[in-house]
Amino acid sequence: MKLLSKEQWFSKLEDFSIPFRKYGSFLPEQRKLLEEVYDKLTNSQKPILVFVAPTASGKTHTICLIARTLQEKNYRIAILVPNNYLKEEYKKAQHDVRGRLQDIDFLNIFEYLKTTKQYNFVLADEAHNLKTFLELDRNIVRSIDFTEKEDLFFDIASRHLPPNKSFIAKQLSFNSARELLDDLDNIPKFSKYLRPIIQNPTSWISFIYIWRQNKRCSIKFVRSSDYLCKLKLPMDRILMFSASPLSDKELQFYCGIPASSIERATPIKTTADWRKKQSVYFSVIDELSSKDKTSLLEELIRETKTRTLILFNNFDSCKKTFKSLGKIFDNITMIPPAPLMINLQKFNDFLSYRNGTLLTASTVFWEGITIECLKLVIITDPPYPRPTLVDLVKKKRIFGKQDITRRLQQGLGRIARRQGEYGIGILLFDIEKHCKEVQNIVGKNRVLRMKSPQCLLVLHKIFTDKSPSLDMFISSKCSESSHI
Amino acid sequence: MSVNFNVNLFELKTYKPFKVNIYDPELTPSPENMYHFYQVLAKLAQKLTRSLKTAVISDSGKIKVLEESISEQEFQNEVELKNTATYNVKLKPAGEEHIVFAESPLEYGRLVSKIVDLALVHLSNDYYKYSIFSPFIMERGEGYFDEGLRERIGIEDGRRYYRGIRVMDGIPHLILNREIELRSWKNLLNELKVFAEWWGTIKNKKIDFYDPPKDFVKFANWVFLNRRASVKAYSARSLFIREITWDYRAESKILEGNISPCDYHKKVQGIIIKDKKQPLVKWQMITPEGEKRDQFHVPELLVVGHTFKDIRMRVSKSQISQVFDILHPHCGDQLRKILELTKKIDDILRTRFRIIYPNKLEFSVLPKEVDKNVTSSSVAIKFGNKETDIEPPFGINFYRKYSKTTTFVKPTPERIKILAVCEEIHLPFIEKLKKELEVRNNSEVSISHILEIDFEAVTPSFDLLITVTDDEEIMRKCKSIIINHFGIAHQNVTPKNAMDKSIPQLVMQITLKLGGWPWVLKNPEKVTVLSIYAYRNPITSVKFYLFNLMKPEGEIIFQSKPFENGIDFLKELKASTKNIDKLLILSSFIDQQLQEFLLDEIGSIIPEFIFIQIKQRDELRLFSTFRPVIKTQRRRRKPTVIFPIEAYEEVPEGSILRFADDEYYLLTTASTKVGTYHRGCPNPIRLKILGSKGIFNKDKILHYILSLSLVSGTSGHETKLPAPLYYMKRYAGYVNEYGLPSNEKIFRTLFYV
Repeated sequence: MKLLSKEQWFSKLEDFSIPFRKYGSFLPEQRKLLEEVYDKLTNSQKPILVFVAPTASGKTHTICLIARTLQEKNYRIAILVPNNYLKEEYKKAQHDVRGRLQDIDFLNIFEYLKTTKQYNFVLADEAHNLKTFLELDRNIVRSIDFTEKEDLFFDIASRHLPPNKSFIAKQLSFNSARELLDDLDNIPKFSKYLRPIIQNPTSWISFIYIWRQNKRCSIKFVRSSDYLCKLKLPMDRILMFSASPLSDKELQFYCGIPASSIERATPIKTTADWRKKQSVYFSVIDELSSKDKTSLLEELIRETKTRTLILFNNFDSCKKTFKSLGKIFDNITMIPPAPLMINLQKFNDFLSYRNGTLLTASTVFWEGITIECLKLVIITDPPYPRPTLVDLVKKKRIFGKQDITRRLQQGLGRIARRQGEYGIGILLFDIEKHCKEVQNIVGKNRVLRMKSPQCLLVLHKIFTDKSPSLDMFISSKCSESSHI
Repeated sequence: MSVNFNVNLFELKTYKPFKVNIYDPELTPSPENMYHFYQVLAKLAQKLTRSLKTAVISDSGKIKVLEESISEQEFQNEVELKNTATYNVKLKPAGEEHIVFAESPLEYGRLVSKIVDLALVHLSNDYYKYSIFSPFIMERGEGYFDEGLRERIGIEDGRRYYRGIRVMDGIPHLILNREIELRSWKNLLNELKVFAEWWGTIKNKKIDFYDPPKDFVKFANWVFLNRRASVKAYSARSLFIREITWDYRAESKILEGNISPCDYHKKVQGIIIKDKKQPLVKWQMITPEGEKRDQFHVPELLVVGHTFKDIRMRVSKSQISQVFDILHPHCGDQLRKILELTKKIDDILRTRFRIIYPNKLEFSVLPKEVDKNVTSSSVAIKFGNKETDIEPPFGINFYRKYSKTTTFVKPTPERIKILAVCEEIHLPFIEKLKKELEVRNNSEVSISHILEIDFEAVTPSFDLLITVTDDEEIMRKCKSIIINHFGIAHQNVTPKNAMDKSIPQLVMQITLKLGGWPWVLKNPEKVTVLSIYAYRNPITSVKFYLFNLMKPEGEIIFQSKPFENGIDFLKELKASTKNIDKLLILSSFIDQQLQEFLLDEIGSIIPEFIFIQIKQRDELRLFSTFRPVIKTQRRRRKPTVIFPIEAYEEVPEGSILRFADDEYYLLTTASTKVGTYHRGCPNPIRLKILGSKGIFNKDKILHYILSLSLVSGTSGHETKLPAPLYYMKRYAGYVNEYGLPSNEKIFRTLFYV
C-alpha cells in the first residue's frame, strides 16, 4: 500500500498524539512498534500482520494513532478487542488522539463475526485472546461443567482418569463422546443446551477436563472443522497486536488463517529498567482448609484496605467465599461468568471503590485485563490446568503441570502493570509444591514463603501501619537474596 | 502404578452336564418347503422357551429342551406363519441325552452358545441374527451415525457381537467380542435411493431413481459388484452381488414357475414387498451339481456390507475422523461394551432361565485376568553399523534417529537411474527423495523427469520408475508393463503423500524393490524361516500357494512362484529345504495333506524344526487395564454404573499371551494415536504349535516371531503378520490384481511391497 514517507508518517503521528505533544516523545517501545508497523505496511503483501509488543508498552495509544492515520486516508477501520472491558478502554483512549477516532468501529470478536460491514483495515488488540473468546461462542464451542453432585462424574472419572493422575485434559474418541452425550441427554439442565450436538454428534468433537482433587469435570464440544471459525479478512489488512501472539498453528486452528498469509514483525522488547515496576509475592505454607482460607481472606481484606483482586479456580468456590465475605464487607464485588455487559456493570461498581475487592473465577480476569491501581492479587488455590483446545488437538495428552505454571504467570501478572506501579501477590498455598519454576515466572528472589500469621503481620505493617511503605518494602525485599 | 492384563474371556464358574430332552415334530398341513418347516420349528422353540423358562432349541429338524420336559398337554401346538398358513405341530418324545463338557466339549460349547443366543435374540428385543448358523448377534437400532449423516451417505454402523466358547488352561470360557460393521441404512433399496441422490448432487443432475441414467447404473454396479449382501428379513445365507439391474423389477415374472420376486416372497416367506418397481439384485447360485445359475433378489430385503473406501468416498472431510472413531473404537470403549453385554446376558439368564442359570451353567461377569500369562519385550535391530533396542509402540520412528552417515545394511546398486513421472510441483519432493536414497545406499542417483509417460513408446533405460499420481489406470499400466514386462521397479506416491514425512518409508520401500535391505534383527534365533501362504479369492475362486525362505536376520533369500496344484507345490517346497539344518515353519493355513507332508517328509530330512500355524483373524482381545480409584458414593437416586475394571485406550503392543501349552497370542500392532487419544483395538495373531523336532526354547521362538513382525516395517507398512508371511500376502495380492510378472529378474526383489 502507499503510505507517506516514514518521516512524514511519523510527523503525522506526532501531530495526532496528545501525549507526544505533552511529553515531546513516544515511549521507546511505542516508537519501535510504529516503525515495525510502517515497515510491514509498506513492504509486505500479506493480509495478516502480527506485531509483538510487551504488556504496558502503550499499545492502546499506538493502535489508536495508527487507526487515526489510516482513517485520514478514508479507509474504513475497525478496532477489534477481545472483550467489552477493552472496548471501554479504547473509548477512553481516543481522547488522547487529536480529532478522536470518529467513524472507527470498536468491536468485540462476536460483533465482528456478525457484522456484514466491509472494512479496509482491522486492528486487533490483545489478539492472543481471540482463542479464549472464540471458545465462548456457542455456535462454535459449547461447554458444560459439573461436579461430584452429578452421579455421572464418577463414571466419567473412573473411565478417563487413570489412578496415578490427578488431572487429565484430552480429546474424547467419538464413541466415548457419544455415550457421554446419551447420559447428558438424561440430565434436564444439560439436555436443552446440548440439543444441537445430540442431534448431530458427528459434526462436533469433544474434549474433557477432569480434576480429581476438586471432583470437577468440564466438557467442551467444538464444531468439527479444520478451524474453529473462519475469521473474516478485511479488504486490505488485519494487524494483530499482542504480548504473546498466537502461533501459526493456533491462527490456523482458531481462525482458519493459513501460515502463508501471515507476516510476523520483529518482536519489540521492553527496556524495562526505566519503568520502576515492582512486585513481591507471599506464599502461605500452612495447609489451609477452605474455611481457614475464607477467614484468612477476611483478615487480609481488613488489614490491607486496598484495591484487591481475588482469583478462584471455579465459580462455586468464588460464590461460597462471596457469600461469607459479602456479609462482612460492603465494597466486595463478585463477577460471575455472565454476559459481558452485565459483567461490565459490576466491574465499574468495583472500580468505583478505591479499596474495593473483586472476587472472580473468570478467565478474563485471570488473563489479559488491566485493573487500574491494583495493589493486591490473591490466588486462593493452585490454578486448575486449562489447556486450550488447540493444545489438545495438536499436541499430546496433557496432565497439567505446564498449564498450572502458565496460569500462575498470568494471574500473578495482574499487578504492577504500569510504569512505577508496585504490587503484592499472595498465594494461599505453598508455591514450591505446585510450581517449581516460580522463579522463572516472577523473577529471582521475589517469593517469600511464610505461615499465615506472619503474612498477616507483614501486610499489617505495610498497609495499616505503613512502616515501611509498599514501595520501600518491595524495594528492600527485592534486593535481598534469602528467598526461593 | 500397576498395569493388569485382561482378555475378553469370561470363565464358566459352573458347567455341569446338561440333560437334553429331544422331540420329533409332526406338522399339519405338511409345509410346502423346508423354509416353512424350519420357520415353524423356530417359532415353536421360541414359544416353549418362554413358557418352560428354559432353553428350547430347534436343531436339525428336532426340538431340544434343556433340563425340562414338555408335558403331554403341550405336545399339541399351533404356530402361525404370517401371510402363509397356520400349522398344527405335534411333538413326540425321541429320547434324552446328557451332554458333559469333559466328554463332548464342542457339543457342550454349542449348547452354551445357543443359550446365549436365546437370551439375547429371543428374550431381549435388542438383538437379532442374520442366520441361525452365524456366531454373530446383531444389535438393533441405527448405530452411532446420526440421522443427518445417514441421510447423506445411506450407510449405517451396525454393532455385532461374537459369542463362543474357548478353553484356556483347560477351563471353558465364554468369549464375547464386539465389532462394527458398515451396512446399508435400513436396507439396500433405501441405500440405493440415497446413493442416487448423492450421485445426483455431485453430478448436478436430477435423478429419477426408477428410470436412472446409464452412467449412474454403471457407477452403482462398479460400487456394488461382488459385495456381500445379507438377507435382513429372514434367516438365510449371504450372497455376492453380480449386478444391480433396472431391466427387471420386483414385480417382473422372471423366477422359475413364471412368478415374480414379490410373489415368491409372499408365498415362501410370507413377506409382502412394498416397492414393486424397485430394481433387482442378480446373484449366482451353485446347484448341488455344480452348475452356476443366475438368481434375483429384492434390495428391500437385503443389506450390504461396506468398506472404508465407500465411507471415505461419501463422508465429508470434517466428519471423517469421528466416523473412523466409530469404526475403530479404542480398547477402553471396546472393553466397556463387552462388559455391558456380559452383564446383560447374565441378568437375562438369571431371571429367565432359573432352571439352567446358575444351577447348571454360570459364567463370571469379570473379564479373565491373564497377568501371569503375559510377557512383553523390546526388539533389538541393526541399522547400518549401529544397534538399537526398540520399545513398543513399534514403528519406523527409529529411522530418524540415525545420522546421515548411517547407510542401510545391504545397499542398492551403486548407480540408480530414476525416471520420475510427475507434475513440476512435486519435483522438490523427488529431489529430497533422491538425496535420501543416495545417502542411505551410498549410491549415485540420477533423475530424468517427464510430465506424462507414453506406455506404448517407453524403453527400459532406467532402474526405477517413480510416479506421483492417484490415477488407478496409470498405476495398473505401471505394474503390468514396467514391472511385469520389463522387470523394472516401480514406486507410486499419491499426491497427498508427496511430502517430507513420507520419505523414510519410501526410501526403505524403494531399497527393497531395488534388491537392497534397510535393516535387520540383532542376535536373531539361528533358524531359517520357511513361510507358507495360501491365497483364495472368494469371488473368482482363484486359489494358489506360495512359500519363501528367510535368513534369521530377516532378509528374504528365496520366493516361490504361485502354485495352483498342491502336489507340485509340496514337491518344490521339499526341494528348496533339503539342505537346511534348523527350520522354523510358519503357515497361514493348515490342511491335513500339508500337515502330514511337513511333519513326515520335511521332518524326516531336517534335523530340527518347529511348525507353527498363524491365524491373523481372531476374536480374542487383550487389554491393559486398571481398577478405577474413584468410587461412587451412596445416593438416594439410582447408583451410577461403575465398571469394576477399565481398559487403557491403547492396546499393549508387544505382548505375548500364553493360552495353552501349544497355543499363544502375539500382539504385533498398535492402536493409532489420534491427537490426545487412541483409535482401534487391534486383535493379536494366534499361534498354534503343530509339531516340532529337536530342542526349541518356546519363549525365544515366540519373541523371535514377534520381532519378525517388526521387520515387516522395513517396507514401511505396519502389519500384524510376521515379515515373511506379510511379504507373501502382498505378493499374492499383487498377482491377483496385476498378474504374475513375465520378467524373471524382478523375482530377485520384493517388487510388491
